Amino acid sequence: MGDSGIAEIFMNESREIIGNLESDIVSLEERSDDEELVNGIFRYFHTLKGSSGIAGFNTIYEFTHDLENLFDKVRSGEIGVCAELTDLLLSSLDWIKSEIFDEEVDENSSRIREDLTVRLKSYMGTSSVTQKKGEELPEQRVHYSGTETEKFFRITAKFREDIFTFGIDPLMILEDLSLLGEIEINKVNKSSLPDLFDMDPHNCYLTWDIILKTEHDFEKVRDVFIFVSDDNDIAIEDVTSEHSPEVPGDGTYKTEKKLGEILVDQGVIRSEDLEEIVKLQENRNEKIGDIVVKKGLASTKQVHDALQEQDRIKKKVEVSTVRVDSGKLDNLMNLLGEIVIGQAALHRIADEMEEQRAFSFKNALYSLDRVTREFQEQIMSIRMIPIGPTFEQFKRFIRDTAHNLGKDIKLKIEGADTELDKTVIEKIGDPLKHMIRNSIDHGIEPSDERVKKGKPESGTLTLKAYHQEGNVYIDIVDDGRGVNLSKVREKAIAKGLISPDESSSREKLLSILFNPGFSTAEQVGDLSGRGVGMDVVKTNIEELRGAIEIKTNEGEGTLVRIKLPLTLAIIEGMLIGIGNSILIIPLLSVTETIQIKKDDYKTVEGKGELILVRGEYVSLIRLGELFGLEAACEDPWDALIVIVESDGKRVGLMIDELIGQQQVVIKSIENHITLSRALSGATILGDGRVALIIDIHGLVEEIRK
Amino acid sequence: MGKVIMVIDDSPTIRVSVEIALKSTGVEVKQAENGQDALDKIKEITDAGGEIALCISDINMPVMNGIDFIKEFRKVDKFTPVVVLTTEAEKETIQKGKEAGASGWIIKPFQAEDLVNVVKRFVK
Amino acid sequence: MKFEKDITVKNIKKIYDEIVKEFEKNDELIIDLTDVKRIDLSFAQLILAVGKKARELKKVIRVKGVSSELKLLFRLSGLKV
Repeated sequence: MGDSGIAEIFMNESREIIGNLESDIVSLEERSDDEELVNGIFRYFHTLKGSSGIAGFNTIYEFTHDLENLFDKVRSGEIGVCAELTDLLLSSLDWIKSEIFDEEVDENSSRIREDLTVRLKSYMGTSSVTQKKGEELPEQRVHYSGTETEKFFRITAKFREDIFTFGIDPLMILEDLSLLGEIEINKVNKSSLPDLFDMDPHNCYLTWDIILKTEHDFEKVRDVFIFVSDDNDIAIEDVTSEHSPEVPGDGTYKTEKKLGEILVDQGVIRSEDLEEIVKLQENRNEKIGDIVVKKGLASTKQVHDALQEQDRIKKKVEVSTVRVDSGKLDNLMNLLGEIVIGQAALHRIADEMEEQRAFSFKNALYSLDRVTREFQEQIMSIRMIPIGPTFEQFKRFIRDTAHNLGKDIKLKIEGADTELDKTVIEKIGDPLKHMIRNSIDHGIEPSDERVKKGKPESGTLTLKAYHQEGNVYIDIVDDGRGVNLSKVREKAIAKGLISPDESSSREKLLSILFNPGFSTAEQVGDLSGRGVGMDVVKTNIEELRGAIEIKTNEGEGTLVRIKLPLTLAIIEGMLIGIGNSILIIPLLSVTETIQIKKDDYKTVEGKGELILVRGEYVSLIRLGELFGLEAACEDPWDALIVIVESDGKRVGLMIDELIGQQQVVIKSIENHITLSRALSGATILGDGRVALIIDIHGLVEEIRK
Repeated sequence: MGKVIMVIDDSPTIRVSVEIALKSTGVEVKQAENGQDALDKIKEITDAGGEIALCISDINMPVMNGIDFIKEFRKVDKFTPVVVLTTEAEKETIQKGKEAGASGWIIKPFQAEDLVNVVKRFVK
Repeated sequence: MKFEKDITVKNIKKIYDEIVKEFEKNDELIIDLTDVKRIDLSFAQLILAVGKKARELKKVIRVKGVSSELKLLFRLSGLKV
């Protein structure tokens, strides 16, 4: 505010304040225990600071800020009053006076100020607040450049009953909210509104559940609630993904569950019972929990547990969030990769040091390693998001698909709060959709067929996610007819995929389902046709370094299990050497490492080199040759062979030596080289060397060509 | 007399700055030097049939500070919004203010635009 | 019944008492807001409560003269206007 009128007012005001300060500071020497005097001086500095900031006297603002801090310590008794202090304060006032009132610019002014600042700071002691300049300046407004795309936010608001006594009208807040965009859904819960004759009109009784469509970003929406967010229940959630046009979705993603639903999920009561209870509740106006207990359907403890579960879910929803660009997380991850590499380099140096010093050096390194590992886990956890919304998206899809096929299907979701890496979640949608479609189309029978078989009329499809041994599993389970293995066998023979006299194991037959162009469906359905896509699903999942398997019991149902890594940024790698080079094979693909006898090796026309591994011939690939590296070993029986598996196909990789096993941070190499598909990235080793990471899936594909 | 915004600060610089910044809102602005002065002036205004739409009050003032002002004011007026003027360094005063019944806060120093935005949240 | 200016929590008690009194006396009540500039949540809640009670007692409540600003505020409070 650079108004000249303001400057004049400020000058008058500060003349008065400085006059008072001068006499008060002089009196301070004699009356240092006069609390009123000390508080008065503090307040003068405080006022001087505030006014100079508003009037645009920034140097004085900063300087009085230091003075105020110093005097705060005098006030608290941390600093005693002495002649030196009063001298310093009086000199400071002199400088302020000259800065405000002197017509001529004193060239020494900034030097004097610096000297004074140094003295002030040293007076406050080393532990004093050395605030950064930026923090003292008038608040810099950060403008978040909102993208122009529409976003959807879900806002639930429950204000304290006495909110009006804080001078706040919730309706004004909601009005401000509505000005940000369009209120798509506004569910106002009036259940707490008392009877007309019993109500206190000064209380707030309503609660809101709003979906806002807006072009503004999260911060802007949060800003509307800034004065009420601390002491009222306000939750804001970005639900754009559930409202994107491709996925119409039915309504909102329910993050809060009703008690009845939880009891059904926990298997305490049946959903048929629930319907009846809800009807009862509407009539009687009693709590669900009470009715359930009264009817003897559940014990008090079960209801209590369910209530706790409900609370837990609710708390999850209310966790406050900060939205950051995921690119920033990628950068963090990348930097962390550099740190890990740096540490590996230090470990190498430690190995070369003399024992005595190496010992203490290594000890320090190990504790650093621990911190880094924890740091890494934390960053990972930031990237993790629950799979719930992805599952929920399928609700509508399943209902529509089942309806189109004239089937009656119930969806069960388990482990919705299981977290996966963001990238994995983004890429898992299509494969999941495909497998779900298969289950509905081929797996679950029409109702009449089910009844004939003595199964419940409606089929059940379960989507289940869980963590196990550092991996995430997603199961798609149906209680349909299962896979007819003999039909699979017939078809496989007809297609020439297996020979008629070959006795194939269940596993082998099931893996054939993932062969391109395979289907057992008798009639071509609208949706899933002749197995188109099953191979694509498998490819997609393997690109995520995951695996897929099918288990089935004919007549009872099918389970499709997708196994995924927790993260895509780090892998367990096997370091191998070829000549002078080091390559990395993802440990996930390695089944074993062997040495072969000369007798186990042969070459076959059109198939290249083969080796005998556990009674089966597999292709041998000379990695050195493939990547144009000079290998030390010429003959396969002198070398080591790493057996890897992809697409159910085993391949032997010929290498010179095994170097070790370690976690490697994948760095994308797209920018550097256009590679063969056989490489997925690179990493930098402790000694600074770059090691390429082999993409087993791509490598097998490459060889097929 | 119609609606009035009361500005309470011991610094005339701040009071005048607020008054100038709020000119664009068209609401009448009255100034008071401390909490007691404000209580007296508020009584005068309401006795004359006026209505206080909003109080903007500093915290650290002689005679009667901002927190005590809010407490006293709430005894006579439960529902009129009070916004406290505070500095970045006084985060805990925001909490104290809220406990006394304040509705919001403005961080000093502020731009005219920030002030108007906050006022618009409470005066429609 | 006709009201004017602002109806907010500051004067809601008086309005509440008036409306309740009229409501008990009459089977049909018209609330005219033509001259009302601004309302807050306390009034919207009162209208909700009086509407609910009217349905219970088979009475009729009509709200007329609702400006577009008030319409928005009523809608935000969950009233169909």
